[in-house]
Amino acid sequence: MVTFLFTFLLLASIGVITMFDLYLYESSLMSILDANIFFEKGTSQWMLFVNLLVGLIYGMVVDYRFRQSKKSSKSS
Amino acid sequence: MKNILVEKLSLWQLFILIFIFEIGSAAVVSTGNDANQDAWIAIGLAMFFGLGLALMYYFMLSRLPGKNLFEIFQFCFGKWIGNLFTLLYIMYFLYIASRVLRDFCELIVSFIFDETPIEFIAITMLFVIMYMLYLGLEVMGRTSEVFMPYFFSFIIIIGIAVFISGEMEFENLFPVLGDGFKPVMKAVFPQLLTFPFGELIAFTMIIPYTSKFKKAKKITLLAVIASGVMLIYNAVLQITTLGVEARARSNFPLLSSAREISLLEFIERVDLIVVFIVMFGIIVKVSVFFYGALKGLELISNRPYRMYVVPIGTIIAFISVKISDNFAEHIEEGLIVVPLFMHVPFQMLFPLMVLPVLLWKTRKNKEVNK
Repeated sequence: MVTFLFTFLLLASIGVITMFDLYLYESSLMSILDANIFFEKGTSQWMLFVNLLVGLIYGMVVDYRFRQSKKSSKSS
Repeated sequence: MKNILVEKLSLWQLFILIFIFEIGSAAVVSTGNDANQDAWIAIGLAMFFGLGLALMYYFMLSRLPGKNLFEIFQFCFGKWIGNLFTLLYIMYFLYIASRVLRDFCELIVSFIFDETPIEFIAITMLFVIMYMLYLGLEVMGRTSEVFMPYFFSFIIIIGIAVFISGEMEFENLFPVLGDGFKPVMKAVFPQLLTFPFGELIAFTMIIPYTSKFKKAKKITLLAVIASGVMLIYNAVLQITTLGVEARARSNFPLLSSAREISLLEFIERVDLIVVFIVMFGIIVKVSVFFYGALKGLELISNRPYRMYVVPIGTIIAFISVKISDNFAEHIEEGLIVVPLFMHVPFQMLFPLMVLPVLLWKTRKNKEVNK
């Protein structure tokens, strides 16, 4: 559930940013995705991706532990 | 992992949170520029309408005491449509939290750490906020309580110091309403009303958790008035120090005003005080929006919100950097697109839409109980 909501909210937020950019600058969807969201030329972009990766892995672990604790409480 | 807890906030903490939240990023960026030298009148008017919005939010919450906005959605429209509304609000809160964080990052990158990547500032700032939220709402309230005296006194001291420095020119405030009332109204709708006063919608997630809910109405209104007065003080300070044109051109007018301070040719560079004010204001503002989104996720997934603090925090950091390529684009989006497509529907239209359904359903329930 945590992983699903994480992915959904991330994609939805990217969608909102892209829509607003399209509204303001009337550029094509692909050019915005290409330049603005993923492959910007900056050197510190990796920080953001590591940050997201940490969020994703943390969410997965926490969700797994939550389900395990629920299972064990049910069985006991 | 801690389970779902019932957290309580004192009325004083609620007052402080609203006060700091309202001043938060509104003190950083220039607001009410459409009204030129009458920006302070526009802020006063927006505060008046903001009181109306706050009353509406409180009225909604008072129909179902103890339930937050998302639970009200579920009560009114059932689980599925209620969850859809909740998801939309979660996205709205996350987006606005990212925008507020970006305001702060831009300020730091432009004035203090000009060599540091904005990504680093966003992520480190989010660490602090995530830690605070992981510890809970009460910790957020207590932290605000500790920093409030500094926050308040620093804003006042800046005004006094600028005045003593002789940098204030009160003729900049004249002519009052020289261009009539139209520019003032243009500044109020939708910009000033939605930012910062309409953003109180995020408090519909916090007010139900105050220790004395019945007195929360009075406290909320008082906090809105206090923050409105402080924003007027800020606007007067900026207009008299910088003038209308320089204020409109300046990205961070309060910071530019503080840079004019020079007392006895000894006390200078007090702009760092402004950075403190802004930093704390933004920590509170991002936290409140973030908390609103987390409570929504808690309701949808039936899992404690603390599970989401880190994953969603990383999304906020990512979005705050990716939201725009530069500060000009960020401000343009904030002034043109966001008030119209996000603030107005989420702060006014949706609550107004829910209100009649809520009234009808709560009345029906009361009749059944009788």
